[in-house]
Amino acid sequence: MISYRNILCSAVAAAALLAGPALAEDKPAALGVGVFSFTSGGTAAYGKPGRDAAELMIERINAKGGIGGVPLSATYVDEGQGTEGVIAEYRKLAGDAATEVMIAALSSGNCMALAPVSDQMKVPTVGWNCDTHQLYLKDAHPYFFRPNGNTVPEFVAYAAYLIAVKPDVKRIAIINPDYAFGHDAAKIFTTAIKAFKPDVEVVAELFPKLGAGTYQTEISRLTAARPDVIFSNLWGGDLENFVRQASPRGLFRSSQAVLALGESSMQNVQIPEGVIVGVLGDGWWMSPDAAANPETREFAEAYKAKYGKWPVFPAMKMANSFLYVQAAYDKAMAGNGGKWPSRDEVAAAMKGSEVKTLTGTMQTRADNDGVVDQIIGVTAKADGHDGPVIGDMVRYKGADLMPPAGEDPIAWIGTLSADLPTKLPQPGSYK
Amino acid sequence: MTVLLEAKNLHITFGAVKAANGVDLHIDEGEFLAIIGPNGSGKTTFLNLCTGYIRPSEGEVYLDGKPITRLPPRTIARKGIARAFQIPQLFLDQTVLTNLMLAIASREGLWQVGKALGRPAYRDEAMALLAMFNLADCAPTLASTLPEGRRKLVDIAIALALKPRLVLLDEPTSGVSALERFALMETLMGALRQAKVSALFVEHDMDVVERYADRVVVWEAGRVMAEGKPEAVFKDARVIENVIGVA
Amino acid sequence: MPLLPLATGAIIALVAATFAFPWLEFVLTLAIAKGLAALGVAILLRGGLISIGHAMFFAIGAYATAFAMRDFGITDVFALILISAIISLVAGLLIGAFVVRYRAIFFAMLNLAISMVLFSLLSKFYGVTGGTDGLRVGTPTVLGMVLEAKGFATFLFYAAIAAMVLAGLAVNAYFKSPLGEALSAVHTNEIRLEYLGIPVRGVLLVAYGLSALLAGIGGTFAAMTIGHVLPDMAYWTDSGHLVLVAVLGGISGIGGPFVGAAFLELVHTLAAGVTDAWNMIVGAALLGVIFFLPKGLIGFIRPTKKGDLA
Repeated sequence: MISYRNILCSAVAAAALLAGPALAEDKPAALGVGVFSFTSGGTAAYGKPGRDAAELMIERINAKGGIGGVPLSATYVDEGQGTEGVIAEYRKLAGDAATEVMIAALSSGNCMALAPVSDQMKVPTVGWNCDTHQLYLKDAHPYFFRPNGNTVPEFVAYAAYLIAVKPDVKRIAIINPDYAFGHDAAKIFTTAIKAFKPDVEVVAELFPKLGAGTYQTEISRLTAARPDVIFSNLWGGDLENFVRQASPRGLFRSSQAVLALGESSMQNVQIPEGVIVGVLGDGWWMSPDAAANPETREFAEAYKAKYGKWPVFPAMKMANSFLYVQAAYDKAMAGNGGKWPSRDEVAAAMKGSEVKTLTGTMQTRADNDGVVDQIIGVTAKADGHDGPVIGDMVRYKGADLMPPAGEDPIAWIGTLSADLPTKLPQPGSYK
Repeated sequence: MTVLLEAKNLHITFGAVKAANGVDLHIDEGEFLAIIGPNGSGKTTFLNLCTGYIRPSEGEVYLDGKPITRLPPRTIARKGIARAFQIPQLFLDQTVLTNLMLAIASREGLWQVGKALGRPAYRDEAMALLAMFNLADCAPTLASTLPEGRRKLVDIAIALALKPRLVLLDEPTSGVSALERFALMETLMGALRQAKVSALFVEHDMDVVERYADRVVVWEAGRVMAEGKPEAVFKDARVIENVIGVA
Repeated sequence: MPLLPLATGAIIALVAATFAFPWLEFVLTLAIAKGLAALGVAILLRGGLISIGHAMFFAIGAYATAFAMRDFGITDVFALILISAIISLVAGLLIGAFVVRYRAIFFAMLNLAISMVLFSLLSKFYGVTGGTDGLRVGTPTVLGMVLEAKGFATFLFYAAIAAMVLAGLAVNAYFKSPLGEALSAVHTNEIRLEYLGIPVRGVLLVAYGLSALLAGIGGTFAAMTIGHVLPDMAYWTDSGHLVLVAVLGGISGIGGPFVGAAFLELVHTLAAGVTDAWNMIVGAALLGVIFFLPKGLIGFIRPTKKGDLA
């Protein structure tokens, strides 16, 4: 029996069917994304892998049809032009409706400067390398997401690993670059070590200028101070120069070195055996989880084929950021019936998200901070292996090392119990 | 007659040369005093000492009986001594008119921010002064483009624009053609007499000296060799030999 | 061409452009901020003095705003501008009292040295100044009204235009005043000025203080528009940039520095958005101006008059 209700329902259903693709037709020709990294200067040693990974990810995503059927189109901004220029570029891109999302930035200074601008212009921004713990300290940032991790778990992890492998450490020295990242890391690391072992003495704290180039004076002072452990978060060209100058002077033989960003320079300079290194997160190098993921293996091989080097953790952070963006779009479109999402909808989708990445899982907290596992290991030689190797690895769960939202991170570190390192997974347990 | 400016026992040495060797000299109010002497005998140095440009190693300079030896040129200028230079000192990138108006402004109100330099009062006064020297037509000219002879006149006009009590003229007729020399001096000296301005001028032209100086001081090797009325001094044998030369 | 209608036309064109391209608002506000500082540099150039350190006053103005907001809770935009103006003026008079004794290369280098000392202090005292990461500058309020960031940016743009016009009028009056003309005379015949009873150091100190004031106001506008202050704002290359802007735009009048600043900001923004080799494009543009417009960009519209210094 044909009832008016049935006709009405069919009409509505037909209309919906027709309207569906018609509405979906409202998709732009390309998804504009602003990608910020350093491609000039000594910092490019760290920034270029990020940029390269972005290009590769875009290639791969577009080869599979793009995001929601829309290809990605990137505008690359060189952070080397200075923060003023970076902000101007960001505003210009944000003012253009074709740009829907930003992946920025590399330097903590630029991250701090751009976060309020992202809120102001209401553009969802993924801070691909913005681990500075100061980011959410004073203000909330509803449009700025930092899924790649936070300097607090990053450097507390090193303290935990160190205590686990060298429980009798007495004297530590620090050599970090002279800017926020270096100073913050020094504070986090020493506070954590002292929480785990209160009688540790900091015998030297050196902060050479970023981009200094020569470290002979610092190496002399470090040698004279006779520390058991030398911690450094020098990176890029600075780290490479430091290692080249310190190795022949035997610094790494007389002290246990912890090179927090060591993995990113391993293919550029010969890092001695036995140095503690990590990937500031859950990078790819030697990681069993990454090796088990076919997509990750493919990405690494493609990266090596295209750029001649294995991807280092800046590249992985960038690649994961793209996956994070893709997941947000998928989630937003699933939530609104397949329509192309607005910037606000993308930001809403990023909130509280949990995204499977090439290397693990990125958990986004309520304050938009990210919780990410921390992998740390020791440089080693291994037979039958192409290139440098990391052994004795451990994978700490991000949640164990993350300060609660709204609490002063440094104060929180001070409250960590001295036996925390024994309760966490042990070095060598990540195989 | 009251003594206006007096130098007592001035000494100064530049390397091996004693440019001032115990100079005693004075000029009275209302007087026109000429200084003559061979080149390089220290006449310009004397002017420098009187205006605070350099300090003597010994001796004092007095204005109205008070010492001004260690004061800087700008303070001495404000006390009423203006100087015209041997080589004209002009503000080359600005017009002749502006050059003069700066002197007027210095006298009247340098620190008035609200009003322009080129206000009618200053403009009129400057033009009047230029007219006196037949320079009115070069008022809008850039000082750097002026021919030599006119530069000298502008330099003197600037000094007069300060309305000083005493003007020091360093070879006012040098660079001026023989034809214009007397016309210039007539105008200049006439204006000075009318305004009751005293003048000290260094000169090489003896005719000018004879005609316009009330008193002459003869300079030689850093000190005063002779002084007196022009007729008397010109007859002095030593002066003829060392300074004037055989006619 | 008559100046007033030209200037008015230019300003109207600027405002119209921001309706067509909203992102221009930020670029032009920043250009005006730098133009103000460059105008300060142009004032000193008029006296024959080149300062390769004036970015220090730009930084002083900017940081004064950041500190006023952070440590004293001052949020009103007019109060912030006033505070920066006063602090930069005082700093200018203090530093000026020392440096105006010097000329030529010594003056240039002394300014550079002092600005680099400031840069080092700003970079080193991480606890107070935020070190090389700098300090955030929040969105100021306007006479008690809390504006949303976008609205404030538009307000600041118009405020910057007003500041530019006021500064232009004030400096123009200054150039025509006895002190201003005396300043021009300093580099041709300092001795004669002294012999006129004019204190050269006093004339220069007024010029220096005024230039510091302008640079400081420029700095506070920059701080409020960028939302961030950095030690780099005091770096010597930024000072060099200001001199470049002044000379590029033309130092014979008032409009030159603003034209130069707008030109450089626009070329930089457009080039950086297109290619990584943006530095080359900026350099090529500069070469073009140097070869074809030796009186600066302003020579395009104003042929040199007699009595012009440039």
